[in-house]
Amino acid sequence: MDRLDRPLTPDEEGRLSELFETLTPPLEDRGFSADVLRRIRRRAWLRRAVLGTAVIVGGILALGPLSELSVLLSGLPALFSEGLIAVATSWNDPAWLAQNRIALILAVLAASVPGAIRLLER
Amino acid sequence: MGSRAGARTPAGHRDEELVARAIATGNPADYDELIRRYQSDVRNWLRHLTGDPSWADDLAQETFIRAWERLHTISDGKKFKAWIMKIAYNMFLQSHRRQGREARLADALGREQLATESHVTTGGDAGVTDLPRMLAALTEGERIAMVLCYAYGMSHREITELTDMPLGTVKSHIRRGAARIRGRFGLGSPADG
Repeated sequence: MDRLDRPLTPDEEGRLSELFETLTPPLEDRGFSADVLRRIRRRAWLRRAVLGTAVIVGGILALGPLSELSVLLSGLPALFSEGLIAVATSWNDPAWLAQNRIALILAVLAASVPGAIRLLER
Repeated sequence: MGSRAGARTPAGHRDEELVARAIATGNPADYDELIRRYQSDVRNWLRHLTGDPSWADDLAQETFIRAWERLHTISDGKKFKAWIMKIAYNMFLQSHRRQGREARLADALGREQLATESHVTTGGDAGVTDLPRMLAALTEGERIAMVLCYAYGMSHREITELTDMPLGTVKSHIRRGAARIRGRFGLGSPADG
């Protein structure tokens, strides 16, 4: 066997370890860990501050549209019940059916779409 | 050195216990002991990689901060030392790519440590007198594998996980690196003269 290819003897292994250990002299902390902790705390504080600010700013920005939405939502039940009453009273009236044909077709289509999709998936 | 002090502090806490407590409380103060224990290893490792103590210490700080943010991801049974050394290595690679310091990588590991000025005096062995020169004779892969193996006492498997090199490659780097050092510089004991 080539001398260079032979495995290291235990003595040589020890010698290598001895040599390489000089590459890792103990380094004094000298405020290193305190600096790291300070930066961790600062980042956490910053994150909380940014999050808090974002929630407040977002809330303020959303206040206008939200009030409009609440007004819209409050009117929906009345609108919906009026529509239901109209359908219930006029569904067998040919004139009313002819007048709202497109709306009825769309409503039937909308109601059947989920079922059709489920069927296609199967 | 922190790692050589073993897995227990004077208070008797193992790494795993410290990690679990830091995760449970979320209090950075509970992370302090882990930083103190491994700051030397991480900073030395980054100094080898960068060749620049100041850059290395910046990266070491970022390493511990990132480790804190990901502490909950450390898997059971994983050694904290190997885990944080891998984060440090990845931080170095990212920073290196970002800063375009390709030219520095080639000689970084073989460069003499600026901060510690650790000249190797090997007790009269005429063959091996200058470790940086010895490291410079190795390829980059051999240097990384040998430093992790012999300077940090890592197993081949840990080096594999840290560097993403295949196990066979790690073994062959260490074998060839050792053979190269023995061939060029000799590894006789000081008594051999």
